[in-house]
Amino acid sequence: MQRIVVSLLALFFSTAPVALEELSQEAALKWLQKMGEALHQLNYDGVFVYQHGEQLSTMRLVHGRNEQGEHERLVSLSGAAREVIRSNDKVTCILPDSRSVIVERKDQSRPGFPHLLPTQVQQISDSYRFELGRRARVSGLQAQQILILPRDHYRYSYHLWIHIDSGMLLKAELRNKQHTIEQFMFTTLQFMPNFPQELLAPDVNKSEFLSYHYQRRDNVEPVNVEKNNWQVDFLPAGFILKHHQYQFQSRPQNVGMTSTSSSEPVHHLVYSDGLSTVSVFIEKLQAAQSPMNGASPLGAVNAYASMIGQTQITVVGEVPEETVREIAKSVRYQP
Amino acid sequence: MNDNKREQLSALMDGEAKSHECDDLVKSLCQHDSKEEQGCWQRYHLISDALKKNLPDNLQHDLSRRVSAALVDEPTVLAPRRFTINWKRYSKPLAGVAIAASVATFSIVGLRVVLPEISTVNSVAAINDPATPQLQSQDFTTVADSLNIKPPLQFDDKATRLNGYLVNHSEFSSPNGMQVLPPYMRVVGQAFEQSPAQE
Repeated sequence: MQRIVVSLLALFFSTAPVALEELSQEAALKWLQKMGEALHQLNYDGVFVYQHGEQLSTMRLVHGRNEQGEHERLVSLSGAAREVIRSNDKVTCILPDSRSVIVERKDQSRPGFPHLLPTQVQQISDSYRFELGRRARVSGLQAQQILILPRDHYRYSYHLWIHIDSGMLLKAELRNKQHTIEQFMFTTLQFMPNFPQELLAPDVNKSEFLSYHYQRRDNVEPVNVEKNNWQVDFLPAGFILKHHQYQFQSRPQNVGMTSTSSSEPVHHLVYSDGLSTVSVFIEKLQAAQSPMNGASPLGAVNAYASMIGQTQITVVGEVPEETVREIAKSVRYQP
Repeated sequence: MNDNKREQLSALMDGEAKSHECDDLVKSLCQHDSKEEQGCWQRYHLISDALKKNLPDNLQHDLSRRVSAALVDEPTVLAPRRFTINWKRYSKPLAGVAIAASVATFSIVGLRVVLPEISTVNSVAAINDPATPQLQSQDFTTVADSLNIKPPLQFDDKATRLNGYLVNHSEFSSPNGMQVLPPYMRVVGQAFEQSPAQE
């Protein structure tokens, strides 16, 4: 009898933490769903600080929905007054430092504002586990902390603070094992019942700027992934190919340059584990272009470049340097 | 070196050499004592680059001096006969620049692999470089002048390319996935300012 009690107790204590973990995971996922909806549905106007490495910058983020669709405007308040305005499938980049405006249209198959679907949650849980953190006060509002922790060392962990009432994301941190790599936090945030279209008007007078308009070019052969000779041999578990395009790419450039497009079409392969994204760019260089080799960090984004013959391989992603490096080194040409 | 050999080298550069000839040509180019072929191969690239306006304006003086010194040491460098052959050959691609571009890329790959110690681009630059007056009056300068060839603008194409990649990457941040941070935050906040450090 005593033995039965002991084993029952043992069973209870061994399953209890699992059950608790599942509960925490489930609650965390509910918060993430709520946040996903809030980010797309709400009308808001806020200022946030963005810190990476020793750099600190302030930006204003305006987002809303009206009869014309979904809109977002992101303006840098420190340094050059760069702006990115997104309206449905149209993206406008205003770059005062190079006095240029780049307008790009996405094809209809790729929504400008992605939504989180339950099937994607499943994909994310293959690479990350979710935990419910503490409650805290952020930007003067009550927030629930959610932890998204990677299952291996090929990605970062995400710590999110979500506004309890609205589901809005108030603060986010990207961390590796040792420290915070990048963080963002609203200092002021205003919710609005309606979204006035005037909020999308850029601060700078862009009529004085050079304007470049990009649309899908017709003279580029359609991508036949089967025919693509480039192979990426290494990808951390969970990363799958989401998109592959082969086309000329827009390039923000300095004054005086007549072209802001790559001189050759570029292979762009997009891999995602549902949360982090890695891009592999494969571009044949012209004689006048200088080859790049090695790593280049930018906050949580890492880039790693290498050459195969006269072809430049560049891997860019919000993942640790090791990940972009290993992926870049695994790219090979298969004739 | 005979005319046939020159024709073969020229064909190799244009990617028109017969496949069974390629290996032999590359082998003979790699040989230590085939200075004449190497010089010829190098000059074909010089002319090609000059005609296609691929000359950089950013010159590396020490390197170009070394290469021009090597050119001076080779008496066959400026044989008029070779020049005529090349002129005919390269006047063709001028009409169809698009085809020429890919060929040039191919040839330079070949050159870097086969003869890493010779730099074609910089040696062309040496010819337009006032620091090397001994070459000013020679054939290639005349060609460049008569065609009014100007070197293209030099800019930090590495940073431009990296930023281009960043913008294109941001567009796909979390495709059909969860979007946590504003995807263009890093573009607006700060662009790549440094090109990657050499390993």
